[in-house]
Amino acid sequence: MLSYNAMRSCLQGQTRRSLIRSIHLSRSLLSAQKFTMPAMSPTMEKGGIVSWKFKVGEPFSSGDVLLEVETDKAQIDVEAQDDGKLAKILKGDGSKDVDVGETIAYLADVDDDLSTLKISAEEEEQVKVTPVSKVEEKTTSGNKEPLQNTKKAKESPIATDKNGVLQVAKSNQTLLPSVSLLLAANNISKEDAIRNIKASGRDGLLLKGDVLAYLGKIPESSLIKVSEYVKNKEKQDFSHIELGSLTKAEPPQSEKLEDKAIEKISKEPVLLHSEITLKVPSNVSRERLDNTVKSFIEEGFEYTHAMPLSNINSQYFDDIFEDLITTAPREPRFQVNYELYCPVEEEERFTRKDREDIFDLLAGSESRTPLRGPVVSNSEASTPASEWTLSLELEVSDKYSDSKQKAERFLEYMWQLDLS
Amino acid sequence: MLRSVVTKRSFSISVPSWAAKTVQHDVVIIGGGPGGYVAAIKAAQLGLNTACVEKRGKLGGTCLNVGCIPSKALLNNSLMYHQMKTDVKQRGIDVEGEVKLNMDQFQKAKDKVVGQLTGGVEMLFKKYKVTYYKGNGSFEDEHTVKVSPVEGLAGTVAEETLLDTKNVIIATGSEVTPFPGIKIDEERIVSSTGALSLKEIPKRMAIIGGGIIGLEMGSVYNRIGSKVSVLEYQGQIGASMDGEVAKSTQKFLKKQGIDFKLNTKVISAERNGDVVDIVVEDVKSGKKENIQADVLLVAVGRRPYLEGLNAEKLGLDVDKKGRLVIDDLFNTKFPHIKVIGDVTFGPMLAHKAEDEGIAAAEIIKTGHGHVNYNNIPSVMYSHPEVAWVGQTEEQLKDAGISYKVGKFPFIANSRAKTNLDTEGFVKILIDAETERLLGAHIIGPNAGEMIAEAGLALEYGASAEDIARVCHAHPTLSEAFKEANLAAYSQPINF
Ligand SMILES: Cc1cc2nc3c(=O)[nH]c(=O)nc-3n(C[C@H](O)[C@H](O)[C@H](O)COP(=O)(O)OP(=O)(O)OC[C@H]3O[C@@H](n4cnc5c(N)ncnc54)[C@H](O)[C@@H]3O)c2cc1C
Repeated sequence: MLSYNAMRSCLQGQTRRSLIRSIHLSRSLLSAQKFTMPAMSPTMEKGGIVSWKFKVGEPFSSGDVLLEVETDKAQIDVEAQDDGKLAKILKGDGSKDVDVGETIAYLADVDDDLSTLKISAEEEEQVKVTPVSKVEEKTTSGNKEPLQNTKKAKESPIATDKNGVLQVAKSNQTLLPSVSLLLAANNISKEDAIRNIKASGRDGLLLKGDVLAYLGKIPESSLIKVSEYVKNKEKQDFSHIELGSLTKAEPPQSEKLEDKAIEKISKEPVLLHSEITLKVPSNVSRERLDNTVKSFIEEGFEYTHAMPLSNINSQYFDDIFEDLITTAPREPRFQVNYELYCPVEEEERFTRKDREDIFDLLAGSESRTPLRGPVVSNSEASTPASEWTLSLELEVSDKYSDSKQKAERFLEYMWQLDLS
Repeated sequence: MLRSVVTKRSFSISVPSWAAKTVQHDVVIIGGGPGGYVAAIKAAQLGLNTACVEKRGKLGGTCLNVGCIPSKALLNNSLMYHQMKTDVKQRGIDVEGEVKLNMDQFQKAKDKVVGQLTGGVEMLFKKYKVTYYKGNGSFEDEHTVKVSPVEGLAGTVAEETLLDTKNVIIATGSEVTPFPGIKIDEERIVSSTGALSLKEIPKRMAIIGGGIIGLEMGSVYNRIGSKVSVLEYQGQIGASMDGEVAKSTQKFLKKQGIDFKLNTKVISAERNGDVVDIVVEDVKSGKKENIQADVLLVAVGRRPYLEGLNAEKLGLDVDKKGRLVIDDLFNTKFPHIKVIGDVTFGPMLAHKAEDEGIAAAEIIKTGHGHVNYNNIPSVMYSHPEVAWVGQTEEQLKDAGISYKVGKFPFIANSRAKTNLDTEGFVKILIDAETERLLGAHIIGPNAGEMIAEAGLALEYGASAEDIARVCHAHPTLSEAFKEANLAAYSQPINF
């Protein structure tokens, strides 16, 4: 005799309160759970019940053999996955030709009071027609939903979630609109749904398909199939890597061309131009802007002259040595001319302030924090901005080999003003 | 108002506070493209001592310098020009005098944006204290990256500098794949890089390759007056597009004046003075044909770029296509050396490189990161745009997934009608049983923006119903997206 754990295939790490679940379980009662005929093999369509090992009301624990099922090939024990008790048996000992997925019993929690347990009208009807006559019973339920479900389930009888795409639903989740509507339509509370329905969404998010499968409206196998497909696609497939060899590729022509362009620039003459767009809050006057721009230019000028060109992060860097090897370190490398344009000449509305920080000014904040960093995020200040153009012209001295580099550094420094 | 600043200077700033004598880093990132620079900023934000090595002289990599950004600048401005010429009259806008394209300014406008954006990244490095080395990065050993000066590059490191690092992220990107036997001179026979800075409008432009880059550049020059022909070896354009979408795309581009030669093999191309002579062969009939063009764009794809990295020294594995081999944590055979972006597997897209950059930095810090390879959108910035994410019909068929299709044309969308811009449709693919969204394919105005909604839905496993039940503003193009979802699981309202 085979021992078969009917639950393992679809339930992993389930919560304490959820009861025995068969492969094709659906729940529409509020407090008792349907227990349906499990598919014991991929080809099984019908089966018989040899005997129930527990009586109604008698508690069982997870792992206990609940009933013995027979197929045309074998007799198989069905184990309980969780603690509980039988609330009602619909297919008694000796029932034959029970369709896979058909409800054979109702299960309740160990502590449930069976006398108050609700079973809906539809279910009561089914209860009444219990095993007396197989043929009759089948015709009774023939036009009902459950049989349709059964039929669907038959198409792909066993749905094994080998890859664990179905998870315990995350307890504190906002339900998708499709999910909450389906639950409402089927009288399932959010708590019950989270407790009983396996989730195929990210981090235990319940999806529409999960509820549809739970309600038996679609085969669970379809849910698992598409969930596995999507899950596989989310990762890169490393299974077919064919190794090649690391040969030196000939340097790309486009890249070489760019290098040439760079070289050309560095041989060019002594004038450097740059245009920077300044987003200036409209309440800032030309004079005020001009003042801050001017002091920023002075600052940049000093900074670029003081800053060594070699990599200051290098172990070999020594600022005194640097100073020594630099020819005439105190001589200016370039001279700055600048112009400020604004499309519409702004009226002067504010009196000028001394030594104001241009970043504060551009960001529209009146604070005087010397910090540069956070300005970027502040720049979406509420004051409407107008666009000024700062046009820079550098006359680069030809006396020193590092003039050009210093001048370029200076322009880079100035580009900090472009916050767009 | 011309002034000169008094050049008085003092040498009072001696050693700046951030000058460290040591060159030890927690992470060194080789390459400052979208993959590398994003990884660098993220790593620095996570508190790691981070350095980025870039040899181009500008940050932003292919994307900012010779890729996404300059191409989109040209696309945007050429569309404006084209609309001024052909479209605004019906809207009641009469333009007096001739609408002319000033090629010089057209290119300058593009260069300006590129300058601003690359400069912006450099500023972000300063803000987040990423140490930036301008130079070539190569492996000395598995924990040492050597930065060498690049000749003629402004601001390059003064001498070879060794960086001793705990982790390395390789983000060296990709380069143009050459076409065997065709010599790119970037004047008459150009790669995408040359096509982005042509000095004059070619009368006839031929393009080898009907992928995204070829079709985008083709759109630009078609709009500003070139006669564009696309030569494609396959029977279909648009690379990995959904088949139906690719066909519609070809139709609207053809209507716009682009000529397509599919199933066409290029045999040779040669520059003769100011023209390029191209010989092609019909793949099916074997019939040869001579084509002449003023500019030939070679756009047959891009290949991983490993030049100067000295990956050989560590014996890093590459696959047949030259991509560095990694595992699902981006690790090479050394767990502390990771690879992201175009130089490894996956689609060669800037946002894919960026997301991998973030994930790689997070993995170094915390051990885990997130990139969903089923949810990487693709956009072609033609007009209308073409955008897609998730699975195509062909992929679903191959995998034996039963699916349902929901479609909604922009001609039935009120905003598209209002804008007199109604070309295209939204196509939604859902699982037949669970109704879970599996793919979204859009041809339409602003499709590239709209695809973000599909991405969000896909990420959270939404069903078509979930999307349709979200309130979409009226009148917007996004209503077409909602309606297509309605169509997929139920019925559309306005069609
Ligand atoms: C014309 C064109 C249009 C495109 N349009 C789009 C688009 O619209 N959307 C999109 O998503 N993608 C687009 N792409 C693709 C996009 O540009 C790339 O996917 C993206 O740039 C890849 O980023 P990456 O960081 O991996 O590599 P890259 O951007 O290539 O950056 C790598 C960087 O590393 C540097 N480097 C290499 N080796 C070394 C070394 N040894 N030492 C120091 N530095 C080194 C290189 O100089 C380069 O700057 C386009 C590409 C092209 C060519």
